Amino acid sequence: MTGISSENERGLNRREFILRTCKAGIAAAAAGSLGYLLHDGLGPGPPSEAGDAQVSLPDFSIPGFEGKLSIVNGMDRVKSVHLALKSLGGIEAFVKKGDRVLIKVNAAFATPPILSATSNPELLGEVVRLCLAAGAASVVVTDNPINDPGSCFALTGIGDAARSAGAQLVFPRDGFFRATTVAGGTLIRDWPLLYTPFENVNKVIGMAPVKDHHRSGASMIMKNWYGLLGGRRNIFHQNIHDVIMELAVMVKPTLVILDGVTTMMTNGPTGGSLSDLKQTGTLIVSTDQVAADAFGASLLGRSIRDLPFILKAESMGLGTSDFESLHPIRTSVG
Amino acid sequence: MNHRGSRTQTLVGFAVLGLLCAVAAGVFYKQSRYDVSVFTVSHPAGEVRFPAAIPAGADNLESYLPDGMKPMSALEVFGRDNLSDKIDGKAELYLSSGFVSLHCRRFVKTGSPDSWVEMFVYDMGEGRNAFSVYSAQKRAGVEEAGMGSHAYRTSNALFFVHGRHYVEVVASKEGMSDELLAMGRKFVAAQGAEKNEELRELELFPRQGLDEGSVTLRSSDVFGFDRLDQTFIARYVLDGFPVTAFISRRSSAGEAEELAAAFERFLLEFGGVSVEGDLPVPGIRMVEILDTYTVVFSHGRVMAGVHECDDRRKAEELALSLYGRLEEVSR
Repeated sequence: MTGISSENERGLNRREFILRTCKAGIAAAAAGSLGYLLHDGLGPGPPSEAGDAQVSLPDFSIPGFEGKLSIVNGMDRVKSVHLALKSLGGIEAFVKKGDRVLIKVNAAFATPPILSATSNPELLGEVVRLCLAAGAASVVVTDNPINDPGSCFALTGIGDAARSAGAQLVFPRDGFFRATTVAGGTLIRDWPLLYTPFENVNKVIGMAPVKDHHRSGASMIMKNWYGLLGGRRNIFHQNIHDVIMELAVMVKPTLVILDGVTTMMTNGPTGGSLSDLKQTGTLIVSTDQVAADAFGASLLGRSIRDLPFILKAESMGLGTSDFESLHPIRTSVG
Repeated sequence: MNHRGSRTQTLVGFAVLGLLCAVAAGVFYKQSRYDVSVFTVSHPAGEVRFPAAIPAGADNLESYLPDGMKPMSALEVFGRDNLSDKIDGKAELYLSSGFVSLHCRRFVKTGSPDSWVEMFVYDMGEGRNAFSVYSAQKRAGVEEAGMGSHAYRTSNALFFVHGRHYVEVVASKEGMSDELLAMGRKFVAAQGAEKNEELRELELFPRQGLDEGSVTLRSSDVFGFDRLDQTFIARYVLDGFPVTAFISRRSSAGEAEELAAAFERFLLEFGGVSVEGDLPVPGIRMVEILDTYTVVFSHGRVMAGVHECDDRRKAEELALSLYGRLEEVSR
């Protein structure tokens, strides 16, 4: 016979019954009170595009590493990015053990990788692996495509490349946007910014292909930050050069990687035909996003005067259009 | 009477309490790290990316499929207010050219998930608008598609005008030309009653030296002059020298002449200098600007000229040829 059975057989007296009832009541009240204390009455709230409080992105650049520029000639993106980073001191100079890295790709369109309208998946995968090998605690890959994000990340190959290399792919969602205002800006004011993926991140890498662009003349590193905006951002197309300049004010990255291995020379930013592309065989890695774009302009056969956003960004002290003044390190892969 | 539980009961009790505490701590921890992406069904980025309702009777493009292909995605339909959601900065090109709607959809080759195409059918309202966006994006050195005068293909895509539609069929890889052409031909067959609009301006360009595939129609803001719209532009090669001619049909001879004068003033305003010439063309104007020569004149309802030619003699030669052709056609 078990202990419980024998106790039941003995029965309870009134005193013990009241005592046990009180204990149970106190325990229930304590549990309820604790639950009440821990309960978030407001909850996460309804999905909100811009949130209530204004946010701004911190400066992700590394002091003392300003004005670094490496230009590698070659068609092999993996070898090129290794060589470019090596020439700047290695990925370890930018990503330390325990760092939490965000890579902003260009996943704007649900198009196949061969059209080069989006970031190259092979290059992305290699950069993710390099960051993790350098000891990064996490690598987040994100963008807010204008097309359906699921289709964009899948069809461009960016999703598979990010995941298989060990990165976390973050799709934009309503609750991820918070209102931001660019200091001194006239366009990006109280505007939804894809902010949540940047929380807990301390390094940011911008990665974009070199493309022709119908409105701005070119889409490269600075234009690529456009994908961090939410809302009806197409209204900014009327002031495209100013908004690109403000985007460069908004994001101060650790490093930028401009992919000019294949350049979309015409019909950008969507392209559509392989005949829009030219094998320009150049990869640019820099800590100066203005210099990177200024060099990228040359791959498109344009001068910086054809692309006013470059000079506007330079005038804001965000970098230099005179990339030669940075004494770029030029190398090539076989 | 001693009613204390046994040691086993006490241990079990503490274990249950400990488990409850762990659950409470877990709930508390997870609550503080709420991931809206996991628990909320929402539209990405705060936008309804596609029209909430596809118009009743909308062409779902499926009927243009060749054998061996099937739908890969749902039909998407875009209007003037959200075209940029699909094609971003290129939307301005279409919007300034009379864009009405875009129907697009992806299709995949059965048994080959990497082999897919996306068909874009732009309704441009009028045939000349369709030609405008077609010509503005026409690639150099392409192969005629054999589907009429305004159709070409590249190694991975097909582009053509049919009636008021501009159509692009883009493949995910090379080697799908048969499928692309089959889709294009089915589209043309289905829209059979609709013919390509006759663009009479194309006949106004003199043939000698003309790069036949180079003619484009610019709908607005031509040469940076906001009053100049609906202008055909053609490239010539004269004795190896590149020259650009333009033609714009206006509503009256008076408007054509007034616009020619306004265009000259526009050039002078931006630093151009009038150049005297002796060409036998009534009312002809020549402006030297930035070391190039621009010629403009009117002939009946047509405003025409030569734009930014590096060589004065070549500019005059083509202007004279252009005037002669307009005279010939008007007789």
